[in-house]
Amino acid sequence: MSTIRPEGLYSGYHNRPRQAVPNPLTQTTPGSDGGEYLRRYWHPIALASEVGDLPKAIRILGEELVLFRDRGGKIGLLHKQCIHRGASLEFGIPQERGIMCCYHGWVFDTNGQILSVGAEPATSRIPTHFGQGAYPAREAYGMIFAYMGPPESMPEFPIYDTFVHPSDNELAPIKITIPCNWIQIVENACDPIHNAYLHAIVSGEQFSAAFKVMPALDFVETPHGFLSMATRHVKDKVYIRASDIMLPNVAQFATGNNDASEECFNISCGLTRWVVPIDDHNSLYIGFGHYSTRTDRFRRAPASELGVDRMGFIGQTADRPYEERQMEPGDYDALVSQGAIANHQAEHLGTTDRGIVMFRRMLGRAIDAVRTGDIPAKPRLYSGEPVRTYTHEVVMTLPSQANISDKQWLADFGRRAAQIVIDTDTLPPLERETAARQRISDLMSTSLVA
Amino acid sequence: MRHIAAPEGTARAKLASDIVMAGGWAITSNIGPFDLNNDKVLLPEGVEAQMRKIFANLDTLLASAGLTRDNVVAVTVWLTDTARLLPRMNAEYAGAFKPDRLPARSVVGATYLTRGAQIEMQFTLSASA
Repeated sequence: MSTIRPEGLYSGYHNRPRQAVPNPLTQTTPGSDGGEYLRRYWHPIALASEVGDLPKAIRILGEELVLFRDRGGKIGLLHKQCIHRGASLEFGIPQERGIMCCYHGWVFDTNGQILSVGAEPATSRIPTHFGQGAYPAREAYGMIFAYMGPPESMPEFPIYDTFVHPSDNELAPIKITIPCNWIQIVENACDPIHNAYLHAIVSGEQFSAAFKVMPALDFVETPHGFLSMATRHVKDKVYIRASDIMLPNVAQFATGNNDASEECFNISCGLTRWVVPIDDHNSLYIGFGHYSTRTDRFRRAPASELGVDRMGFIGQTADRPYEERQMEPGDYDALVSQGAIANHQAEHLGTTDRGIVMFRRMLGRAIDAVRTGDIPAKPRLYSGEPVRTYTHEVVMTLPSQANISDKQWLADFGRRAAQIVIDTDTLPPLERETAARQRISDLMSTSLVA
Repeated sequence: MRHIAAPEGTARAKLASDIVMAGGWAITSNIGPFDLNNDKVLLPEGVEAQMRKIFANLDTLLASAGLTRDNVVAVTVWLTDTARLLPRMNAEYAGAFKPDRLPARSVVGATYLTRGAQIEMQFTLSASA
């Protein structure tokens, strides 16, 4: 760390940032420690609406790939270059089954099996001895998901409880490309204090006015990561906003538009997003907005405004003039300006960065586990049940005699409420909400009396 | 000839009229996704939101000239990053005019537009409809 030297201020000459060192946490490419870890999970790689009649060249986890839908409707994800002589299959022709290379007519099934070797003799042994590199891919919820790891380690395809919530729930896919390393984007979600500064105090009201109130922070472990929590005292209400950070790269958030003026209790989210590395220096921000009568009263952008490069929320893309971004910066500007890979050696972390530290530690342990042949530290065990998630948004009115100038009370209350949301995760969603709401309400009366 | 001037104090007021009406025609200057009266208001993000602002501006300006979108005979669209934004622009453009009275239209790629906007549009109108 750079410190104030005896020679004092104007330290620009002496106080140079430390040199960056190779960091496994930021690695994504095949064979790297970080990249191998990321290859143990299903990731969304494109919106289904992007896969039309023509193949699509994409890069994911540093690998050049071609994504296509064969005429039979099956999704294929193959190494981009034909194993014959390297022409790109983005110029290939989808067949009833698989895709034909444009150059010499070799045909590959969606699983990589060679179905035809064009003009080679029928006796050719090439099809039985070789194959095109392929990955399992499937379409779900308007997105294409892929698994790019060793087949023997493939986990079940995860379905989250928020995707199948029993109340009405429309999913609106989004995909944004952000030119920086993936963990910078994940860490943004582990950092609730930036919501107060970047999104409220600095830039006006990108979120609701309630976000200008400085929150008490806490970070509470869950079975698959942690809750990144901000608990605020807004007028006569306590407002808890807990974002669910799931390793490696999933997060769920409540809407940012709750102004804490009315009571609410939701164990559900307004947004599910994955950060999927394109390579070490570029990432997909991909997922969906959730639309339901439960959360829509807090939402401003309609589902029709979400899509490719369209997030319905200011400051998520470069599609704003530079000077306007300077006057009202958004997440995109804060994330990308850290550099393609943020230099952790040059940072000076403080107490409000506990979530960042927690994420890096969990990620480091998980990468180490995979490197040493273990399963990741936070395995996803699905066994047919939706994955329980923990995002919650609670606004409760304080008893009139309550005096909670104490930030510690707020933090404690937020943490204990989160623990209730975690403890009730065996219940079905609606029962869980009823039970958790009652227990948190009880907690408020008892903790204020005590 | 009638000149509909931009509000005093805006940067464009010194440079051009917002609309000039002459010989039965009304010609607009390029309309950007800016606030018509206040240069300090930020531009919206994304080509769709910017187009919605341009059409809102168009409607405001036409009202001051006693015209409507039905009078539009030709549109020129100026677009940065054409390869990426053209399909999005077209999707938002659909529905801007009555389908049986579509104006003639040209789309031009631009390297830079005022204040870094992604899109500007220029309109030619028949004042006699």
